[in-house]
Amino acid sequence: MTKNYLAIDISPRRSQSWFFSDRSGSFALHGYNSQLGAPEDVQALMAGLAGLESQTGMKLFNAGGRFNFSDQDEDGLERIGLTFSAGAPIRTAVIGLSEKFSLQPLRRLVNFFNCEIVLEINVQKEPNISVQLEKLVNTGFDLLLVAGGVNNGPERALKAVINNLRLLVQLRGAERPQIVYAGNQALGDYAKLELEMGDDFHLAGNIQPDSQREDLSFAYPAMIEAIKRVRFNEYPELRRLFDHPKIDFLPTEFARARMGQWLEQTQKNGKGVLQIHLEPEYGQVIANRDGRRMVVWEHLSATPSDIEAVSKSLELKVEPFAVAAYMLNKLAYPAFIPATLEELSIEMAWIRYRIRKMLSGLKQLDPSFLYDAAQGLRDEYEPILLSGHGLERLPSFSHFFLVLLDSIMPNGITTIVWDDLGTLAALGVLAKADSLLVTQVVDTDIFTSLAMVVSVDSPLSAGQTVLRLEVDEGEGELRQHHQIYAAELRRIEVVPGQDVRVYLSPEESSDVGMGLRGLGGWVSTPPSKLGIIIDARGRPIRLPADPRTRREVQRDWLWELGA
Amino acid sequence: MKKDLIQENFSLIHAVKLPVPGKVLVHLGQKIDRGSVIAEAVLPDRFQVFDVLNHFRIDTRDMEFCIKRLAGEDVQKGDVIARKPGLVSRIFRAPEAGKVVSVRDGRVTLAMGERHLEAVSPIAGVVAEIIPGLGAQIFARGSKLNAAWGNGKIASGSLLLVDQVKNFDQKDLVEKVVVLTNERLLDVMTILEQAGVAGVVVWALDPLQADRFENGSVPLLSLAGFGDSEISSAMIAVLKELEGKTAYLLAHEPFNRDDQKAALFFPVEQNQAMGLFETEQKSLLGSQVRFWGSPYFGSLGEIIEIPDEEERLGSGILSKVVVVRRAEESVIRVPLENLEILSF
Repeated sequence: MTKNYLAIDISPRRSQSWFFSDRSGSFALHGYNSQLGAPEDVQALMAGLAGLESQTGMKLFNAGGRFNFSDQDEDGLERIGLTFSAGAPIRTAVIGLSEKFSLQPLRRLVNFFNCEIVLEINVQKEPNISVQLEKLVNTGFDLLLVAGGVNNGPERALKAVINNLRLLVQLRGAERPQIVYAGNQALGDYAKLELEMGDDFHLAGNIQPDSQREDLSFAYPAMIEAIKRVRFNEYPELRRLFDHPKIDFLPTEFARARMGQWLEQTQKNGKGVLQIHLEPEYGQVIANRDGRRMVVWEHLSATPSDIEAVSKSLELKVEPFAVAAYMLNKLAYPAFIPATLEELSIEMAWIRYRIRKMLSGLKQLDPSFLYDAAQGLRDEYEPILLSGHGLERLPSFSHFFLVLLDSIMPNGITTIVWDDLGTLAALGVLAKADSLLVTQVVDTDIFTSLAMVVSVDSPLSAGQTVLRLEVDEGEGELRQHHQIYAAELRRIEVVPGQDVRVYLSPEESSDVGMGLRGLGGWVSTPPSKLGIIIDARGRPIRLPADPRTRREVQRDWLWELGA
Repeated sequence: MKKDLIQENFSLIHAVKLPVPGKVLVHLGQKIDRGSVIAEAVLPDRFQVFDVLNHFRIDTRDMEFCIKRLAGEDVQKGDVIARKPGLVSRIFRAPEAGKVVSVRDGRVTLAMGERHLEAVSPIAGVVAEIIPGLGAQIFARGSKLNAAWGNGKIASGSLLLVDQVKNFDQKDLVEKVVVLTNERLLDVMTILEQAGVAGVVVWALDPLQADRFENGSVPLLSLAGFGDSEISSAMIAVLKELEGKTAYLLAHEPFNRDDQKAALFFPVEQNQAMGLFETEQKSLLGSQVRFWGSPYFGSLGEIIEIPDEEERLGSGILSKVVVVRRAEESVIRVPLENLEILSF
C-alpha cells in the first residue's frame, strides 16, 4: 500500500507545502508549492494546496473539504506535518535561581525558538520576593519559564517563586501566560497543583538535573506545546490545523534542528552539522555538534552600529547616506530587491554582516560553539546547509557563495549545500511519523551541493605556495595539477555531474584539516555547482588596508568564483 | 489626482491594547469616540511579602496562631497582620492600606495601592473585534495615504501644511498634524516640539539622523522613507485638499508586534459600519506607485505594462518587473517589489 505524507510550512509572508510518497517504491518528493500570503490568509494556504493537488494528482481533500486521510481512503494521507515560523517573537519571561545554572541554560532554550526575553529574574541577585512579584505583574509576556535547583535539592526559593506565580495567574485570569516549569523535579507536581492552570501549565524535565549536566532536550516537548498554544490563540483561523489529531506541529526552527541532529548521527565523518537559514526579516543558525543542539535567532535590524559595520565592508564605493537609506528603507520593505550594483553591494555586505553577527551571537550564548568573528569557525562542520529566501535573491550561486565563505570562514574541509526548497523543516516534522521517509528522501539528493571548500591555514606570506593538489575526475580524464598560493582564493572547475577525487598535498607548515600540519591525502566530493574552492586567504582574511585596492581584491574573488 | 494617490473608502483596522492583561470595557459593534477608554487594568501599586516563619523564627505548628488576617481581607495602615506572642512580642503591621492577597507556606502577601492603566483609542470608529483581556480592534472608514516609516507614536489633529515654520504663530501650530512641505525637519524640530504640535509629517528623512527621529518626542511620519527626495507638487495638491480635516497620524514602526503599517488616515463622518465584503482588489495595471530604491527614490508613477517574462536587473538579479511611467513622462522598468502601491 502506498504511503503519502504532506508537510506544510507557514512563515510570515508565504506558505509552502511538500508532498512525499513511496508510490515509486521508495519515498521521494513528488510535489512542492510555495504560495505568497499572510499566515492568517487561509485562502492563500488553500490555493497553495490546490496547486499541489494539480501538480501531483493527489486528492488532498475529501468531498467534505476535509483532509483526506488513509483511514477513510486508502490512497489518502498517513499524516500531515505542520511547521510554523510566523508571528512576532513570543514575549518571554525567565526566572532562574542562579545565573550560571539556570538563567544561562534558559537563555539558550529561549533562543532556540522565535521568542524574545522581556523579563529576567535572577532569584540569587534579586532575593526580595515582593520586588520579584512587582516585576512579574508589571511586565507583559505570553510565556514564562522557570528553572533552577538540582533534583531533590533545596526547595525554599523555588517555592517562593511558585507562590508568586500563583498570584500572577490569579491576577491575569483567563489571559494568563503559558508557564513552563523546568526546575527541581521534586516541586513539579507542587507547581502544577499550586498554579491550577490546566493546559496552560507545562511540566518539563529539569534542564539542569545535577550541577555538572545541562540537557535542554528535557524541556523541548513542554516548550513546543506552550508555543503551540500561544500561536493557537494568536491565529484562531488556523485552529483546524493546530488541533487536528493527525497533524503534527513543530516550530520550523525545531524541525530543522531535529534534522541537523539526524544528519550528525547518520554521518560518519565525526564533524558537526551547521545550518544557516536567512529570510529577509529574520535569520537563524543551528549547530549540531556531539549531540548538542545550539541555536540562535536574529531579527533584522538597522541600528547605527549595524549601518556603520555594513558601510565598512562594501565591495563598491557607496556613500554612507545611501547605505543608511537602503538599510532603513528595507526594514519597512523587506522584500526589496537590489536593482543597481551599489544596492547589490550593500545587500551582500549586509548578509555577510548578519551571518557573522548570528555566529558570534551563538558563540556568546553557547561557549561550546567555536567561532571567532576574525578567525571564523574554529571547529569542523560538514555539511554546512543553507536555506531561506534571503539568500536566493542574489544574482548567482557565486555571489552568495562568496558572501557565505566570507562570513562563515570554514575550517578544514567541508561541503556547502543549498536546501533549495526548504525541505529540511518538512522532513524534520515528518521524521517522527516515518523515519524511513527521511532516510529515503535525503538519499534522493534533494539538496544541491554548491562546492567542496578546503580552507588552508598557513603562516606563509602572500605569493608563497601553501598547497599542491591533484584532481582526478575519473577514467578517461587527465589529472589536473594545481598549486595554491597564500592569500589566494581559487576555484577549480570539475566535470559537472560526477564524483571527483582530490589529492591534497599541503606544505609542511600548512593545515588543511587532515589532523596535522603538513598532512594531506585523498578526499572525494560529490557533483556540485561550483566544484572545489580552495580558500588560502588566511584567518583573519587578508585584505588590503587601502579601500580601493581592497574593493578590487574582493571583486577579483567574485570573478574567480565565476560571477 | 487625489483619487490616484490616496486610497478612498479604505477600511482601517487599528489595534488598541493594554501592555498587560486587564478588563475590556467595550463590546463588539460599539461606536467609540477618539479618546474612549477601550480597556483598563487596575494593578496593585506595590506588594509586600512577609515571611512569618523566617522573621519570627517560629515552628510551622505555631504559625496558625501568629497570622491574624485571612487572604482576601482588606487592611488599613497599622493593622496587625501577624503577631508572635511571648514576653517580648513581635508584630508585623500593614505599612499602608491594602489587601491580603495570599497566605501561603508561612508567607503573607499584601497588595497596596492601585495603579490604573488605560488603553485609549486614538481614533473614532466601531469595535470590530475584541482582543480578550487586552483591548479591541477599532474599525474606521476613510481615506488613507500610505507611509513608509513612523517612530512608533500615534496622534490625531487637524491637518496643516507648513511651507516655512517661521511664517506661523506658535499658537497656530498647537495640536495640529503639521506637514512640512519645504523645510528640513532637523532645522525646525525643536520649534515644532515646543509649539505643541500633535504630530509631524514629512516626505523624506535624513537616514544618517535616524536615531534622532526614532527618539523624538513628537509623533513623526515619513511618507517616502529615508533618502534624498522632495515632495512632488501632485502630492502637495492632494494634501492641500485635505488641509483642515481631522487626520490620524499612525506612525507605526517597521516590524511592530501587530504588523500595522504606517499611514496618514482621514476618517469620514458617515458610514462607519463595516462592510460584509471589502472591495475586491483590482488589477495592478494603472496603479499609482512610489519608488523605493535609487535613483528614483520617492518619485511617483503609474504602472503601464506588466510583462510576463522575468528580466535581468542592473544588479544582475533576474526578477519580474513592471513598466512604470514616471510623473515627468520617462518610462522605466522596475521590480514590483521595489514599488509602493499607492492606490489601485
